[in-house]
Amino acid sequence: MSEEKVRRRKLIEHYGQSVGSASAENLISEAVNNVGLDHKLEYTADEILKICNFLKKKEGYIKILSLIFISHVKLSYPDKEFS
Amino acid sequence: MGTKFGTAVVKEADSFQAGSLAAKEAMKKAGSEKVNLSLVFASSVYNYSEVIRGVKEATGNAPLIGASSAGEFNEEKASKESVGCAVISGDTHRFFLSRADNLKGNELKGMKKAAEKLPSKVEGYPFNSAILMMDGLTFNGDEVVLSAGEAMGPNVKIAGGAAGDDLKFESTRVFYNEESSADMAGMAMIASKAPVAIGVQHGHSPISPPLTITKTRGNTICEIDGKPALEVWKEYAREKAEKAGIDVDEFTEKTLTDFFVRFEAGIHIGTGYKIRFLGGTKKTDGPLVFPGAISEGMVIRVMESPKQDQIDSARKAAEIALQAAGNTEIAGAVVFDCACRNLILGDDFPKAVGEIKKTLNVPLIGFETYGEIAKEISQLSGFHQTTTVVLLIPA
Repeated sequence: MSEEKVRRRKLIEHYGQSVGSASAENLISEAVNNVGLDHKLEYTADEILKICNFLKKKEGYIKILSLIFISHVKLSYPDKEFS
Repeated sequence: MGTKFGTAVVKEADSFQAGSLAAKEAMKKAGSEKVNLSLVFASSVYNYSEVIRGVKEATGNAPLIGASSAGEFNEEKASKESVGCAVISGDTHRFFLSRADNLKGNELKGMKKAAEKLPSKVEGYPFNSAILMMDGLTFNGDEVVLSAGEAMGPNVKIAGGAAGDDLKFESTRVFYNEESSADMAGMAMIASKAPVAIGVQHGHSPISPPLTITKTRGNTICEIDGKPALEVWKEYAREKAEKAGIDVDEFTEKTLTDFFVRFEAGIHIGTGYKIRFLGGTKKTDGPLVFPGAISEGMVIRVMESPKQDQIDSARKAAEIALQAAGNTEIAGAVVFDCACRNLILGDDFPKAVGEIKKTLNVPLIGFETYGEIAKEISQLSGFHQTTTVVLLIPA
């Protein structure tokens, strides 16, 4: 099975539903910088996990949404070993 | 047989009698002695346990869900310090209740545990939705709705409200069968033959440019764009506030609340704005108390809310719900309407209810909330404020 990529725009849209589009853009940029990824249009499951693992350290909505994404990614690729 | 929906709003000195009479009147109007679900909303002047006991006894112990409120209304009247009750009877929906306690900080686990007690599929009733009631003072509406959506699954629509207490902001309660509790969410899952429809709309527009939150502490905004947050709010709203008779340089407790009722916060979410009420702010020199998910770097705007826009938005919410229902016949409507809207509209509040009634032309029950919930299929977030949410129950 080829690995699906997640668009950065989609990620911003999801986080932005609560904290707003501009804040979500900042959040994702902060996470991408902190986990040492490049800023690009789409990310692999592995990269999404890195971003969400960083964001789950935040509080409230951001933390819960990150935990949800982590569990969805892991469920989508049950046989994959993530770094 | 289809589904019947009856409503009543009553005022009685005795709490048990208020619950009992409201339920009996609603049952009479529905023309049914068997009740599948009672929805109950009660002012803080009542003893909630007694109200619930009254409803339960009248409905033959039918499943019950509801909340303390800041105003109650139906298709006949808009009232304060009363009990509102709707009964739903029939064979086109099946109802299943579940609850999550001690939710603050434990939203995802709590809602998942609550959802595990609900059926994922009901034979012959292919459409799942839920009415969700939550505490109005735990400031975790975003988290609860996100968690409920995850727990229930992406194909479940959710509508509901956060409990009120007549704007005392002291203690709110969720009603769940015989009990009334704080820091709790009560869910009524609805398995239906035809899908419920939801409409949501607010009547606010921005009066400031985008403003960045630069310093927060817990649920409070200390600084915006590097300046004291309240000063920034005053700067953008000053002229309009003064026209409304509010002296922003000499706030009293009352004018401070009035100020935040008129000038709320807007979060741009791509397709529009989500509204947040800053009325928990009690100090006349700030900081601003923010009732939801907050972080430094977050961008908000000062919003205004003219009366006519609030009336129009109530009608629009009903129109959106009707449009979503398509050709489905509707038995009744449940309206979750923010208590702030009543503050903005004052004596004109019944006009907004009248617009909903005129648009829908079905029995309706409503309560004034401290937060409104409307999560459509595939949405993640669905917590609103100073907004009208209309839930249509098919016949």
